[in-house]
Amino acid sequence: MMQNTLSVQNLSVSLRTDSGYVPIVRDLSFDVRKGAALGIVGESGCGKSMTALAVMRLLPDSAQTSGSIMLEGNDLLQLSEGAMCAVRGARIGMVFQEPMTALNPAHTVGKQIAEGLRLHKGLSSRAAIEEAGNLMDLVGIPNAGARLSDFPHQFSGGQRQRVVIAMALACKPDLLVADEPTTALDVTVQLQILELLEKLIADMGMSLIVISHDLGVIGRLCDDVMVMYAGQAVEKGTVADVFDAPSHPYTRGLFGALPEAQEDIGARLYTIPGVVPSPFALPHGCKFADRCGYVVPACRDAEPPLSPGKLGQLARCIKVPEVVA
Amino acid sequence: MTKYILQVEDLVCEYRLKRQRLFGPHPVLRAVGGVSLQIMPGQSLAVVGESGSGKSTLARTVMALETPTSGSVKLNGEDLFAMSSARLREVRRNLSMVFQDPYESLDPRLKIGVSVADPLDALHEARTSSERRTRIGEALEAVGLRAADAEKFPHEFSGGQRQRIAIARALITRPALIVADEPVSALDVSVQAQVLNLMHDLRERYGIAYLFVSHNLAVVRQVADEVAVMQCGVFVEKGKAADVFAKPQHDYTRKLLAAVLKPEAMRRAQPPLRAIPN
Repeated sequence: MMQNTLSVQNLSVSLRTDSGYVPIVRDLSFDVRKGAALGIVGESGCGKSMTALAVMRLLPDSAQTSGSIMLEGNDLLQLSEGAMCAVRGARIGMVFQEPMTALNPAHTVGKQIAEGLRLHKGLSSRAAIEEAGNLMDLVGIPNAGARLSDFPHQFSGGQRQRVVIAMALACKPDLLVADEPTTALDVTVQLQILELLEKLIADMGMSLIVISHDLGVIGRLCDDVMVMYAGQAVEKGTVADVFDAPSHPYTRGLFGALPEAQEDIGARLYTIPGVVPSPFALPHGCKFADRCGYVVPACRDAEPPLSPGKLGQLARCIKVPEVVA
Repeated sequence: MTKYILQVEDLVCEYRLKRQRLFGPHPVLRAVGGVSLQIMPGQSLAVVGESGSGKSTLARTVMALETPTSGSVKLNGEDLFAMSSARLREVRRNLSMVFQDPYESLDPRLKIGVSVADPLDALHEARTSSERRTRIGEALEAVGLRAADAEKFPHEFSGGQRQRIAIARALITRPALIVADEPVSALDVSVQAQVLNLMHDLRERYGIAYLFVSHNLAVVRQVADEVAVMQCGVFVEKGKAADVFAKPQHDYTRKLLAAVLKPEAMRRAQPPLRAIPN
């Protein structure tokens, strides 16, 4: 049996607002295989960051969560806040999008990397700082020992993201969650950070969740992919299957919009018409129907289930044969 | 009469940094170190380079927001830095800029009609309030919004719509050249495609020339006739977009091209996507 580091079943997240609870994540199930990387892709507002926050149990108090999130057999949703604190940072590491805001400008990077080591591993200050130096070396910051006492502003954007990765890796977590880890970076630096993440997960046997709106990043880094739309998985499978024969019209639209995927210079890009539906007013039936070229009346009757796509993937669409034809 | 809309010759921009010792000399940072370029009316040039390569300084100098140390920037043959400030104000109507972050480039307290009309008001171009209103409506409709949207505030729009508003503001003076500094870097892939297509269409419709600044070679494919690759303040390669993509000459260009993450599997042609039936 294939071992999963993380197994999420029927996760739903609603946020309390003035006009009642709005569903942000709806009945989402996915697994992260041991030592493998899962990519979660979708437009802004489709619920991918909320999913990551739910896994970390960092959702705002106004959120209501149901389902189960099993990390190596323990349901994180059943843990007390104290027990969850011991999981965050120690067993799940997190890398956020904007390295400048993820670091505290008033503390040296050495102190910030060492914090988790002292808290979770009970290392002495001196031992923690020494380990922080090793970690900075590991993530490829030159002259690491001497830079421990530098402040975040003394690092470039790419180096700051390396520091954030060092912090996330400090306690050798089972799972690393990276939310748009390279979106704020130049393309050349992006490639370096992706290569670093690739090497680290291979060396440390860690599992990874990468959240991105960029299919190029997912294709480079991940083994599995889940495409989210309106709080739901609309397509999931291995990167090989989904990228080779995207079977949901939304996935196809995302590929069409990608300048990197086009062969012709000066060609118009495909754009997905319309906008993501508001969680306050989700349409009945298929949530993508209003933006879809394959829509038939049956699409609006009931929400389509996940059904087999062209290759091994699942797609939430009743017109798969036509979409892939 | 010269045929170029924009002509930059041997542009050098230096900044004096803080002195390191009390009586020591000021170190000089050379952000742009002798750059020349020409853009014909209706043509577009993309300047591509990493952070710190000097591409934004170049864009800001072309907008006359920075004063160069030496060299010249000529708009329709007139040197921007040799003319009187009154004349500069007048020629500015031919020049517009679109910035990277549509969340920060629009004042959250102003209705977007006011923001969009700002260049018009600064140049005292609209003589009557009805002309002003018409021009706002035209600009908004040109970018695919509705004239009635002028009464709304920025928070009522998505990121892609805000970038459209920023483009409408750039269009309202009917400029001959738009300088766009990373106009799609802050946007989602699908919205990025919409904005790139819009810029493409506006060029065909109004014959606007672009100076397009980006760190990503992939996004300039859709808008650029010519590509200049900038590193450490100088152009290391410049040529027709097709040539630069097909036969990059400089190592740095090859490095930038290698950093483009092309989803491997997408090399296989996909059946055309069906559009929404009207």
